[in-house]
Amino acid sequence: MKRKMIAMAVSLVAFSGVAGAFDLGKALEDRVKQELEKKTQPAQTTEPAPADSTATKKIDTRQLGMTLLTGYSVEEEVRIGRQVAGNMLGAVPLVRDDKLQNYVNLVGNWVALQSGRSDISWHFGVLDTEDINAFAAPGGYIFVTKGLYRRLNNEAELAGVLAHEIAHVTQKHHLKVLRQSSVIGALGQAASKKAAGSDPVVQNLIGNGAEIMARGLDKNAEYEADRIGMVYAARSGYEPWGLPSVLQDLAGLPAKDSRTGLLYKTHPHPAERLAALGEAVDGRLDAVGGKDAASRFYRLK
Amino acid sequence: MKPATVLLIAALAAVLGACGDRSEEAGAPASGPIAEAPQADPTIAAEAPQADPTIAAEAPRADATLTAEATRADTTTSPPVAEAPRTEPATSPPVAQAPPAPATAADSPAAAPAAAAPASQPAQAAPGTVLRAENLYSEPASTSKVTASVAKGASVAILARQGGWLRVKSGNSTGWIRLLSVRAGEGGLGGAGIGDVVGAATTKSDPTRVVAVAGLRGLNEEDLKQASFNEAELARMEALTVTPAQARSFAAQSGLAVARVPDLPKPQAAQPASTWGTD
Repeated sequence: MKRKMIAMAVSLVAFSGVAGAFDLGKALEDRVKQELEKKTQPAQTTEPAPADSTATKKIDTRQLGMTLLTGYSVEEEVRIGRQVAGNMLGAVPLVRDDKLQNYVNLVGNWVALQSGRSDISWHFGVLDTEDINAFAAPGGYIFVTKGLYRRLNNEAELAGVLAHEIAHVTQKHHLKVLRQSSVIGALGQAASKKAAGSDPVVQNLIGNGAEIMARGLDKNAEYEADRIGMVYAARSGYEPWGLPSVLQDLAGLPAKDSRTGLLYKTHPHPAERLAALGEAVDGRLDAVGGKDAASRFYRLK
Repeated sequence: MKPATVLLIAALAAVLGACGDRSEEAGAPASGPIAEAPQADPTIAAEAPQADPTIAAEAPRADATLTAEATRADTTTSPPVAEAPRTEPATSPPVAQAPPAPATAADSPAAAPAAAAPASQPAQAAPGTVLRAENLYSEPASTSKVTASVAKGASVAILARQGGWLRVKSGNSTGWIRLLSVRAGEGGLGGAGIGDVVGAATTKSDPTRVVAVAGLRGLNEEDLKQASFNEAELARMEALTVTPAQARSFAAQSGLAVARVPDLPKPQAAQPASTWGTD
């Protein structure tokens, strides 16, 4: 079914970016393209038929093609992210430690500055649970659990973890999943500006609560986020080995540790991630130095 | 959004440019940690106070672990791979088993004292598994002498860590191997006897398949499914946001500077013809 949709979409609109969307260069290209498109008209594509925003109400193949190929606007993305984040926080609140939260926001925003996405405002939060995990919602809402945070040894490791999540956002991995599974044009028509509260239109799109965060992404999306995350962290001046060190730590955890249940449901095992990273990195980062900024790492109280 | 566009283009250009820059610096891997002031000796003192409270907080820990923790304070190059040095949440209720495997708990990587290679031999070593056929080098640098080679799947003892390198013992040979070529723990190539957790998704043959399967406690799928929008908490999170200027100043405070690092290629082996997004 999905494959059919894609095929249709591709035949409707020749869009060379789709096949290579996984490589970062291409992703950046896509991104530039999106920015340009957004400037003119949200619904604009090379689509021959007129496609204005009012046509998005009905789900037809044309709409489908546009949804698949142009993705969501930044505004829609942020609306989706807010809803997911608000639900996530409904499941687990933030740790009540403003110094901690501020510290994580500083590190996260510094890394995000090297990600090439400045069109959104990045938010980071430490969730008050011993579960070991981290999450990224579209639009720049990123979470790390207290359980994972307390395993970190220095700022470079934190940066590595956050960079992995930032990469999910820049690569729009979750949006791609939404496009695959839901393909609803609802967001386009409901142009309502963000309200403070829950957004029923978006909720309808993302399913129940924050389940989209528990559904997980394809393995390759995780491997990609690992690769890009290492690079973001290194570009931020951190030693690139923060993320791998965290993966090494997790690889050494007992297999059935309940704190990693959800993590392993949604991610390949750390050993596999290390192996995949090893293939990609090889000696390429040998000359990269960087700091671990360990001396100012904020320790949990 | 023009600035964003420009930025992206600049990033692309930077990436292309950076590709040319990467000269082969001998001994480069070591240069990071060594060159970095906060990591070298002077900081050890500064860091010591950090280690202590941790130890104190972890009273219930076994002696061996405490020793390991202490070792970490001396470790110039950060994160020990071994289990022991990690801070175990004293509060984590869901953990049925004793936190880390006792075997690994004792060995801390006794990393190269003062960032000088080779590192001294610790009393005990952490078990690890080689993830790809690799060389062992006499120094943590690919330009140094190859002392041995290890096969994929081989068991090694991890003795120390320095930057992107681990000092390991394999059979009668000891040498440095790339950090990413070894996994910590005794689980072999895949997940540590966790076929039950990772499930069939560990096969590389079907990379487009979505990873699934697990039994959970802690934070689970149902928790997330049932969650309802918490407006107040979200407002709290959004209020904590910092500005790019604040982030830059924060980075400058510890001398973090933007580095030119090229994108990593997607490994051929793990690269399907189609993208994951198309299935």
